Amino acid sequence: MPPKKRRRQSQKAQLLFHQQPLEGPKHHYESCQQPITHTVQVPSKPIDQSTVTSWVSPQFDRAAESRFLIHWKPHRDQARRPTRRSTCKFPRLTFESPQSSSSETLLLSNRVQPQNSEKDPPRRPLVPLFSPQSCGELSVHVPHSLPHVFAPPDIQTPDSSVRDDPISPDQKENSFPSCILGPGTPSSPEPGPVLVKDTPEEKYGIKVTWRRRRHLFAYLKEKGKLDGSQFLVKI
Amino acid sequence: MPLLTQYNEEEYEQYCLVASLDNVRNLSTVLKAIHFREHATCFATKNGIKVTVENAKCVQANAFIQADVFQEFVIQEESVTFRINLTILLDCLSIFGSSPTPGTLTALRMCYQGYGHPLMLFLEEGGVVTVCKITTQEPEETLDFDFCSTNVMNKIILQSEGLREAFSELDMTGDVLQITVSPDKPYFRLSTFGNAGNSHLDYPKDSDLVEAFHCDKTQVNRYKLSLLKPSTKALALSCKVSIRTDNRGFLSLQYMIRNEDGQICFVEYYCCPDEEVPES
Repeated sequence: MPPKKRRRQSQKAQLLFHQQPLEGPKHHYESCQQPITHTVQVPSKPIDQSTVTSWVSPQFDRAAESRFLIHWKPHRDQARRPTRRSTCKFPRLTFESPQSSSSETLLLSNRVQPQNSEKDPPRRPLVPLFSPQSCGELSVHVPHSLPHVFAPPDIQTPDSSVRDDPISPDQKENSFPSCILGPGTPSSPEPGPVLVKDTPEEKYGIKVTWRRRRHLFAYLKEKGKLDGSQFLVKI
Repeated sequence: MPLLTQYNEEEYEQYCLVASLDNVRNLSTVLKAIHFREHATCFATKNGIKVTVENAKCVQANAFIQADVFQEFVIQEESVTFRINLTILLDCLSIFGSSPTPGTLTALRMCYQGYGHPLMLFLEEGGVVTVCKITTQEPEETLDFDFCSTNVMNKIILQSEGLREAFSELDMTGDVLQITVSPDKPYFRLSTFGNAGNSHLDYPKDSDLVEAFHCDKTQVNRYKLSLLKPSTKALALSCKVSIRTDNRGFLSLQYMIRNEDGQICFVEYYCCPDEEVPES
């Protein structure tokens, strides 16, 4: 083991003060003795009436207490107060039937007299509205079930009758516009336009493709080469 | 409450004192504030019930439970007085538990038939009725503090939180609490002298914590901390405190306490000052 190196001890010079410490009072850490004291004692007295009946004399402001009590009460009142019901701000809606509608209904009922009303009512769900003066020829064929079926007064719908008619379907379809545009219209109220032609009852449930090719449709059905699932609309 | 709805005229006639409470805590809480001795003297009058506890001929504590606090308060005589074990009374009042379930109240009916009879407590909670009979004793003498308002030299009304803070901040390892009241600075000063040194707490008279300050002459008095420490129970419950000293240096601490129902009760402490023993 190598010998330890001897450390060189540095010899520091003693500090030299330029000024001597100031002389002043020194604080001695000793507890300060408190003077000897004793607690005053009060005498006892027998319990007399004044002792029994003596009561506290409150030293606090009564007004402050009153304010506190007033402040205390609203919380209870608020808890007991029932929930306020909200009222609707908007006026209530009232539904009324228009006056003109009822008057027109009366007018229509007066014009047409019911005849054979019990015949074929389910087969004529919609009834066209015609003016007898403008369509004099067709008035004979107009069904007389109008009072029992309501129809829009300003709209004319085509007749959905399936009766055999001497007029061909093409002519039948063309006759309505000409009748509407007849020369006798100035004397009667002008009828409304026909929006959509009603589908004939025999064509109910048949696909549009076969409705437009009725001849081919009839031929194939006659030959038995057309199945119902092929031309009927699936519900 | 079956106890409150029950009415028996004969029962009322045999008892000279009947007091009923919907919430027993309104009574037990105030009594705990003065529970620093085992026995107490009860004085019942038309004003209510005053309970007095004393110690070492230097301290007297009075709890005032006003008749209005009770839902039913009937007293057949001008006054009723008896001495009772306060520890047992408090144990009976909290027989259903010291911290009951929130929303659950214990109803109390307290009956006293007269001299020599026990104090009967009927406690009901949740339909369960407990009957306690506590033996009463003949009252002894009482301390005569003779604290008169006409002799009061200084009066300060503080928010209780201010004084609570003082008692928590001051060094309580000393023996005495020095109270200095002066018309000039420091106005109101609390001082203690402990092992770690001296502590001083000053209250300016215009502080928000000071509600009233009346002082005509500087007065410095010392009181034993051991005698004042029990008053911190009432201080903790109170919202305001009135500090008064008379010309003899006697201290009066009056605490205003609000119960759970917002009613006001008062607890008053009287304490004797310390006097310096002249050196022989």
